[in-house]
Amino acid sequence: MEYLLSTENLTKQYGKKKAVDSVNIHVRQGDIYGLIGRNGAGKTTLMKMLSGLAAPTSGGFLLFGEEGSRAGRIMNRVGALIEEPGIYADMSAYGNLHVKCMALGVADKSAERELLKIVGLSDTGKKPVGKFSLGMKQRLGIALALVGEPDLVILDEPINGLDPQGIAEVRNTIERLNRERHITFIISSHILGELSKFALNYGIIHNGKLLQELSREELFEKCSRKILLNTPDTPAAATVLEKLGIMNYRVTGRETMEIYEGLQDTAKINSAFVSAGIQINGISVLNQELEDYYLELTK
Amino acid sequence: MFNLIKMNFYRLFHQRSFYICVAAAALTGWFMVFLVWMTPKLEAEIEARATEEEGFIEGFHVGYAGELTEESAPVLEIFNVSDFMDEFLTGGIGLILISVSVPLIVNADRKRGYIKNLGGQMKPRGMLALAKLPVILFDSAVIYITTFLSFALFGRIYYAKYTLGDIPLLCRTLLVQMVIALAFGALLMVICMLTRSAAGGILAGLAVSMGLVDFICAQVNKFAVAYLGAPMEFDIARYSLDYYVSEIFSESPGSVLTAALLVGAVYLVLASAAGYLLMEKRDVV
Repeated sequence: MEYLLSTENLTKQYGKKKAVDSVNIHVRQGDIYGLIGRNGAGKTTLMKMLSGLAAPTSGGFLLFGEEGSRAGRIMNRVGALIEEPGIYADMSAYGNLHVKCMALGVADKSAERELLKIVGLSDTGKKPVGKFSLGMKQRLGIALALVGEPDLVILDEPINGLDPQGIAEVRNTIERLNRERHITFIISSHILGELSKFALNYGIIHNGKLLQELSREELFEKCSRKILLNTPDTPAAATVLEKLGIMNYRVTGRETMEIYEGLQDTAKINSAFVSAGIQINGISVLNQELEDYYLELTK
Repeated sequence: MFNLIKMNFYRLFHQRSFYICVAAAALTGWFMVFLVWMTPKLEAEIEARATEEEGFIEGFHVGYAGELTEESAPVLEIFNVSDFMDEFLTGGIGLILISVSVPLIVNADRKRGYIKNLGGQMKPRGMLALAKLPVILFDSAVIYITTFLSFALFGRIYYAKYTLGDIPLLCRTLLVQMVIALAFGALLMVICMLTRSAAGGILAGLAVSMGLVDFICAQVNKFAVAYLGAPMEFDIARYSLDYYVSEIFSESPGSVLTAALLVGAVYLVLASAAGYLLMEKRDVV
């Protein structure tokens, strides 16, 4: 598989502490890759290395097929918003964008206006950025990351501190850019529920280590529903399940079981128990939240 | 590089602190002219009152006028703008203004602004530091020229007899002082980068402007003579920037100007290299 970005044992050490420890992530072209992790898990440090703001202590990464830390010319294809955007509070949104456009030598005179339109800040005029709401600042940060039409955009906690409307705005912007301009995104967040709404692949990072890398489908499957069964005769229930071909279950207590297969066939399973004369005190389908899955994984 | 310089100038012209520093330079010019114009008048007034009220002079002696009765400020017959510029430059007032304005310009960008946005995309990143130098030079030039214009304007207002002085000689002085100012500004930029703070740069700049280096140099000189066998005339201050700030004025001999240019150039190259390497090797936070 050809990846747009892949890291190889990427490590960043501050003193004796490894902020990022031998991380291997794989990002495909056109992906929205979600980095999940608690505060201090190493997400920001990893993203800083990927965006060229910090040098790895060891390991490296391949970006667009070239060695990222060495090939300087490819780094201009990477836009980044790390933590809060680097903005001048006394300048307008246009002014801030103009500063970056000038530095990168963007020849298109209408680039700033177009970027403002993309992130929905066209009507801000000469209003200084210092008077913007947090959501507006974040959207300006995304616009800044988009200057120069990068192929890969790295956004660190872009929805942090936003209200539900702000989150939706940012999410829609990212989805639209991914769909219409085929921009690949790497997005970190600790608001897992929100990230799960638009990321296509995930890397779960904890204490600097990558615990798991999985697709949206895999994640949903892992977090997805399970049947909670309450019966005084768990061995007999297990036999019935195995006769039905359901092997993916777990006895979690003296009278409780969790079944991870055949989630669509609850009625069939229930009638099989009844036919076998097993007393069922309760049967219910449960959705595991992404947060629960994450917490379970990082225990 | 050209794009970065262009961007730095755009940013400078949109920065409030730049205009505040320019206004401060203009005010400094006015204040110096006003002070020189006002002092003889005040002294004359004080003397007149002293003869009228005998008791007044006693009370006044306790305060500040003790020295005035011994040596009164001379009344300026002809206002010479070049002389005032010499005073402004050699007195280190220009250096104080630069100490405040340069860190404000460079650090705003260092901590929050475009370096964070651009640091990853710009290779080599050290260019970001070098691209600041033309802005530092421009900023220093604007401060010096504003002060000159302020002297010229207020000298014209306060004094009946007025001359610009020897302008070619003043230009020569200004040119050398500009090289020193640029080197000094580059040094402040490096301090700002090292401390990741404008306050660090301002503090260091003010300490140099106010003679801290003289004190340190004096101690180093003593140490060198006592323990390293250096000759008695050894003076390490001759290799410091602020030494030449006070030595470069209209009447300065050519040898001093050359030495100042040389020292300024060495500091400029070293500070630029340090800034470049710091920007290149250090992670952007």
